Amino acid sequence: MKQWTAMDDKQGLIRILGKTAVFSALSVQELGLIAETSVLRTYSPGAPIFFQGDEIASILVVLEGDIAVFQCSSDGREQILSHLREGEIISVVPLLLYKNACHAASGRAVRATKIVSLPLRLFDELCAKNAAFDRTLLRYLAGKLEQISSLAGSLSLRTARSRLAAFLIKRADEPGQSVGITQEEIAAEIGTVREIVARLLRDFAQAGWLKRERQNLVLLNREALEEEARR
Amino acid sequence: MVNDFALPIIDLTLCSGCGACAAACPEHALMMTVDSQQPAFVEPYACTYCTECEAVCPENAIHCPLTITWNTED
Repeated sequence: MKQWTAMDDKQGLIRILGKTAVFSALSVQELGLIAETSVLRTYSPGAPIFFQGDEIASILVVLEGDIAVFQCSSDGREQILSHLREGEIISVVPLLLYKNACHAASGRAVRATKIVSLPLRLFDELCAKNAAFDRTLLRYLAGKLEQISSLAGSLSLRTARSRLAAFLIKRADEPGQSVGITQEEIAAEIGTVREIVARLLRDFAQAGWLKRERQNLVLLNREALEEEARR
Repeated sequence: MVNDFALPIIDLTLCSGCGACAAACPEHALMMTVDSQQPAFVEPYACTYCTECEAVCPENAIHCPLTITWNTED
């Protein structure tokens, strides 16, 4: 982790935050206040960023990159709950629910990630003074609720086979994959174990839905995969 | 852009030198070095990227990342 004690590029930060869904409601002066008091941190791919149970000492906002938010079972199995990308706030739900809140999950950088941390007091002040900011925050929270409801439905009502098909389509549709994903990581995304992912990938290949070319998984049959994803 | 030929990534700082990966490699592409007792790709072009080494590593020291794309041929 690399850390600066002051923002090197204040104008750059104001510009980036001003474009995000949550912070776009703030005035240039308010964004300037954030830039004055914030600390920038950068993380390499794979680096842990926060841990479940740790107290939330400041507001952490993703400036760029991708954070996988996950929880682990007692036997070490990992479930990815969500990904946080540009403009998103880390652990926003416990932050708004409790005083002295703790992270409800852990997070690690999937690729090179920049985060800015703001004092809790400043966030509280913005919430108290700016109704437009509250509304964008509310909309952001509603989006998070929808995401978690969708995950709960998928984990409880769909098979691992269906979830894998949906995951492969989503992943292949994402433009510019800069980093690959291991079968272990796919398992954590879809709520199963590596062995099941390996077996299902073999099944899909035998059915002619995909082919393996060394490190490349090439999807061949969108229609069949989409039908499987709907099951 | 995706490399055409990739090998599994071994993090030697996590490796305990148990040799499970070399024993599992069906192509004998991966073997334990005699002096340092660490895995090394002695026959890299024999590796088929079957991911067996990744599956058996008890230290999670071997990674075989996959890219997932749509077929653009035909």
